[in-house]
Amino acid sequence: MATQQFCTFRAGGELFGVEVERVQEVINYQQMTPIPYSSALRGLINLRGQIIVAIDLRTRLRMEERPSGYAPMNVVLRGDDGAVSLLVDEICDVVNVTEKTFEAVPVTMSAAFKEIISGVHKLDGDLMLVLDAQHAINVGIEMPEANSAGPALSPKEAN
Amino acid sequence: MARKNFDEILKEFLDESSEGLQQLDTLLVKLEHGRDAARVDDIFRVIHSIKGTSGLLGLNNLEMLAHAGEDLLTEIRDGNLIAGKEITTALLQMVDSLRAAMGLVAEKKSDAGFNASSLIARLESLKDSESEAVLGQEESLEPAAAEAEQDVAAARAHNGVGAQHLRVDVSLLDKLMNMVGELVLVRNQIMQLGHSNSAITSSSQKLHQITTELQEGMMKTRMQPVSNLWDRVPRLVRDVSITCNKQVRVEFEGGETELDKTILEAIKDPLTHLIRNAIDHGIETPAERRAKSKPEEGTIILRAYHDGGQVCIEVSDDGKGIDTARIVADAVDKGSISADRAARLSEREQKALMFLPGVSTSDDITKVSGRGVGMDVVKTNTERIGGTVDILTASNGGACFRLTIPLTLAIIPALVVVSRGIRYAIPQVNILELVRLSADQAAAGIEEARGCSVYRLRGRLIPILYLHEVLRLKDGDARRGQQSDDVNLVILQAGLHSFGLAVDDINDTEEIVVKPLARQLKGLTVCSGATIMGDGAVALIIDVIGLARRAGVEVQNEAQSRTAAAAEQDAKIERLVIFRVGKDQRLAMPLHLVARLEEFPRNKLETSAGQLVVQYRGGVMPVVKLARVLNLESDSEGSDLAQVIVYEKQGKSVGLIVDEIVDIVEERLTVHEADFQKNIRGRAVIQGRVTDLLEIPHISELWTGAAETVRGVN
Repeated sequence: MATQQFCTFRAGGELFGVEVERVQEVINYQQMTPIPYSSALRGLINLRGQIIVAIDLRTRLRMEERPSGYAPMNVVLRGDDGAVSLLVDEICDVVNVTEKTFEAVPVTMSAAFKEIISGVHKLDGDLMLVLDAQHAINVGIEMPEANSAGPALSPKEAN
Repeated sequence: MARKNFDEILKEFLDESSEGLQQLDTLLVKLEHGRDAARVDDIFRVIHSIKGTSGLLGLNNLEMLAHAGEDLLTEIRDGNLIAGKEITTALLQMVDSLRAAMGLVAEKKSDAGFNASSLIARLESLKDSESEAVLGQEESLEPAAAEAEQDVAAARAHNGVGAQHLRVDVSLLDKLMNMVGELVLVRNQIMQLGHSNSAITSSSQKLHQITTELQEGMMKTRMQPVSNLWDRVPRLVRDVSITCNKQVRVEFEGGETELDKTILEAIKDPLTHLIRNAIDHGIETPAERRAKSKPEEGTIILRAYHDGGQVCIEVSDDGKGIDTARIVADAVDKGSISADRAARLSEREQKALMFLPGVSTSDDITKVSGRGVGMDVVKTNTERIGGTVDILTASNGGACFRLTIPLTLAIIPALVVVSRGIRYAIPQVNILELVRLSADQAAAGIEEARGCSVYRLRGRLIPILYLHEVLRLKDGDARRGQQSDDVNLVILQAGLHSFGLAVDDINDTEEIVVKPLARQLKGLTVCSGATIMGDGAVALIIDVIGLARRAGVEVQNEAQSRTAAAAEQDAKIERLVIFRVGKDQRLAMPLHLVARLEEFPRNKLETSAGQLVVQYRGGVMPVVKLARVLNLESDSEGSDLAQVIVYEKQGKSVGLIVDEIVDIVEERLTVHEADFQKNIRGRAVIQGRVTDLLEIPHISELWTGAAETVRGVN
C-alpha cells in the first residue's frame, strides 16, 4: 500500500498535517509587516527578497488567539501563485501514513474546520487533521464599508 | 540543423509579418505624399514575403489577398499608377485585413474562414483603373530622389546590423528584471551592514557598482523608443482627418526617447485620444483657418523628452485652443460641479474639469469624439502608471497636453513615512508638499468639525486624514516613546481634491522596487503594492486614490443633488444663530428659521408619551436634545437652565436644547461640502472658526410624528 508523508505541526492544541510535497520550507518566527483590515492575514514577510503573506492558522480556524509573546513558526507552503506562510505554534515530525488510518472529517466538527480539513489520520495516541493547503491559504480581505462619515474618522475610534 | 516544427515556423512568420505590417502603415502614408522607388520596394518586399511564406504554410486565403496587393504595387512600382487617396486607402485596408487574418491564424493555426474576396476585387479593379493616371509623375519623382538615396543607405546599414539582434521573450526579461530587483535589495542590505574588514568593504563596494550597472543595463533591455508608438500615428491622423474633413500634418520630435515597454503600451490609448481630440476639437476646418489667416493645413506636433528622471510627451496643435468657459458650463450642466464652486476655481483647475467623466466641449457627438469619455480615459490611464496630465498652453494659438510619466514602473521614487511604528511608502508623484506642525501649531491649526479634522493651508480648507485611523492601526508602543507630539502632514493630490495625511514621522525619499501584492491582498484597495526596505523589512505602498476613496474624500465627481442644493446656499449673506453643543462643537442655523431663543429651568422639562416636552405659552411644546441627536456629550446637563432654540414649523413650535447660544452673526457664507454627515448641511468658516451648519429639514423629522413612527416600526 502506498505510503504518504505528512509534515506535521500543532496549533491551538490540535495536530495538523500537510503533504510533504506542498511544504517549501519551515522557518523560525520572522519580523512581519502588519496588513490593515485583516485578522487571519497576519502580515508580510520578506523571504529572501520575495514578499509572502503569513496566514495565522489559529485565526483561520477561529481558534483562540495565541498568547502574546509566543512566537509562531512559519510553515511555508508552495501555492499556485507564489509561496504562502502558515503561522503555527510548533513544528512536529514528518510522519508516514497509509490509507488504512484515514477517516473522513467527523460530522460534528465546526464549519471553519470542515472548510479546510480534508480528513483525519488515526496515529498512535493522536489524531492528525489533514489540511487542504489550497483551501487553507484561500483568504481575502474584505474592506469594511466606507460610508460617507467614514468609520475611520468617527470620533469614537479616534480616541 | 534540426527541423523546426510547423508551430515554430508559424510563430516566426506571425512575428515577422506583424512587424512588417506595422512598417507598412507608415510607408504607405509616406507613399501617398510622394512616390519614390525605395519606398515602393520596401512595401513590395514586405507584402511579397508575406505572400511567399503564407503560400508555403498553406494559408491560401492570405496568399490570395497578398497577391492582389502585390499586383497593384507592381503597377505602382513600374510607374503605371500613382498611389492616390483611393489606392492608398485600399492598400491600408489590405494591411488591416492581413493583420486581422494574422490574429485568426495565431488562434486557429489556419486561415480557414478568412475571406477577403471583396477587398481583392477592389484591389484588382484599382489595378486596371486609369483614373489615378500618371499625372505629375515627373514632379513627384524629383524631390523624392535625394531622400530615396538616404533611405537606401539607411536600409543597408540596418541590414548590416540585423544579425546582432536577438528575439527575446518578454516574460524572460520580466523574470530577469525581478531578479535584478532582488539583487538590488540584497546589495542595499549588505551596504547597510557596514563592515570593519576592509576586504569585505571593498568587495561590497564592487558589488554595489556591478549591481548598479546591471540594473541600468537590465532596464535598457526593456526600453523601446517612443517612435515605436509613433509609427501608427501618421495613419491615425490620416484616417481621422479624412473623417473630419480637415487637413492635418503631423510632426515628431524626440522619437528616440526611450521608455519601458509596459509604459509604452499603457500610454497608447491616452495618446490616441489626445490626437483624436486635437484633430476633432482643436484644429479648425480649412475654411475657418483661412478666415483666421492660418495655413489651411493644421499641424500636430508630438514631442518627447527627458525631464528630471521622467519622460514628458507633449501633444500640441495649432488649432483654436481650449474654451475654458465652455468646459465650465458643460461641467455645471452635467452637475459635476456647482456653478459657484466652479467660479471659485483657478483657471488651471477649471481646465482640469475636462478630465471629469462626461464633460465635453463638443456640441455634437461625432464618430471620432465628443462623447466626453476621452479625457477621462487619458487621465485615468496616465495616473494608473504613476503619470500626470497637464494642460500647458490653451490660448488661441492652440492646445498642448503634456503627459509626464515615469521611465519605468518597477522602480519608483517614494516617500517613506511612519505611522504607529510601521513604515509605508507613498509614491512621490502624488505628493504636493510636506507640512510639519509643532504640537502648539497643530493644536491651533487643526480644527475639528464633527469628528473631521481640517487644516487651513494658506487659507484653503483641506481635510486631514490620520493614516493610523484610516488603516485602523492599533496603538503601538512605538508612537509615544519615539518622538514628540509634532504633526507631520503629507499633502496629497487625489483627483481634483487635495488632502493632508497625518503621519507620525517622515523619513527619506527612496527609490523603491515595486512588488505586486499577493492574491490574498487584492481586496486591499488602499495599497498598490509592497516593497522591501534597505533593512529587509517589508513596507506597503499606499495607493493615494484608494486611500482617499476609503476615507470618503470624493475623488471623482460630486453627488449631483448635493451640489444643486449647495449651489443655492453658497455665498449668500445669511443671518445665523451660532450655538455650541458638546464640548467644542460650533453649529449654526439660519436666523429666519428661529422663532425665539428661550431659557427653561430644567425641572420644567417633562416627559409625555416618551417625548420630552415643556409647557410653553399655554401649550405643550416638544423639545429635542440636540446633543443626543448629534451623538455628542452635552456639558450643560448639570446647570439649572436649559438653553433652547424655538423653531416654528407650520404653526407648531419645537425646542432644540443646546449647551450655549454663542452669537448671532451676519456673514457671507461659503459652504464647504466635504464628507457629509446626517444632520449637517456643510461647514463654513464663521468668525474665523470652523462651524457646522445644522440640517434643519432633517431635524424637523424628529418631531413631526417621528417618535411614533419609529416606535411603530420596532
